[in-house]
Amino acid sequence: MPKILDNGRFRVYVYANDDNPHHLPHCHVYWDGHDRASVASLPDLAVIAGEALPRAARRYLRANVAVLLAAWRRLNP
Amino acid sequence: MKKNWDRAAMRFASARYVDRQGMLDATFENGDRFLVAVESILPAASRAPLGPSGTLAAGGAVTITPPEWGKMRIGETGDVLEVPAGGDVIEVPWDRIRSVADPEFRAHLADHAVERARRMGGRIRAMRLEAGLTPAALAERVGVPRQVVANLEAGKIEPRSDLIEHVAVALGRRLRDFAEE
Repeated sequence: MPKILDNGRFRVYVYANDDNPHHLPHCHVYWDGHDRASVASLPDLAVIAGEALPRAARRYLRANVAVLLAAWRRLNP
Repeated sequence: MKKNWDRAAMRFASARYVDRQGMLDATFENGDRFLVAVESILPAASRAPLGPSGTLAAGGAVTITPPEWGKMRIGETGDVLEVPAGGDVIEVPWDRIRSVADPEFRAHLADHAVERARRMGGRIRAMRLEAGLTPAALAERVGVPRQVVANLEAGKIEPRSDLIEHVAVALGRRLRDFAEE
């Protein structure tokens, strides 16, 4: 499973084979189990789909955005 | 009316492989249903032409095991399909399927890309000015023609991740500085 980050509250995945026609790097964020989710582009963290990111999630992603973008480039060359 | 890309638009209600047609039949919780040729949603390596034994047809030191579509299941998050392939599992996230099969989602991605380019361009321009650089000086540091920087700042380029990284280095910034607060 390509889970990249997990702080106990938010889980962040970057999938291989997840490119799109606009080559938008992005990550999938889950919280409250799997009931709530967002897809956010990298490194800008604008929400593509799903719910607005809670402030704590945004802080967490922002602090790790370089790790997420590196994972995207590795998994979606 | 613009579609609401909410959780129901991400989660699969069902997914099955139609063996006779080589198609994936996927229905989302919001009722959207798509029939997709499976080769269009697989990683490039899994799309290589295969011989009858599943090995590469030509040139082949590499062996690729074909995905076992009959054993496909919906993953625990509800929005990813998992397909066993040898000892591995190929994961197909919901947005991969929609970006291939759903013109509404592709249009949504296009809108997002345009808006992202505009915002990133504005941010890059502000950072450049803060750094006291001319567009020509930034272009030189990044190693691109000056017009690229002009287009980037004007939001006319959908910046790829490597270009963003080079701009960040040239401006003495970290990638997190490009993230919305």
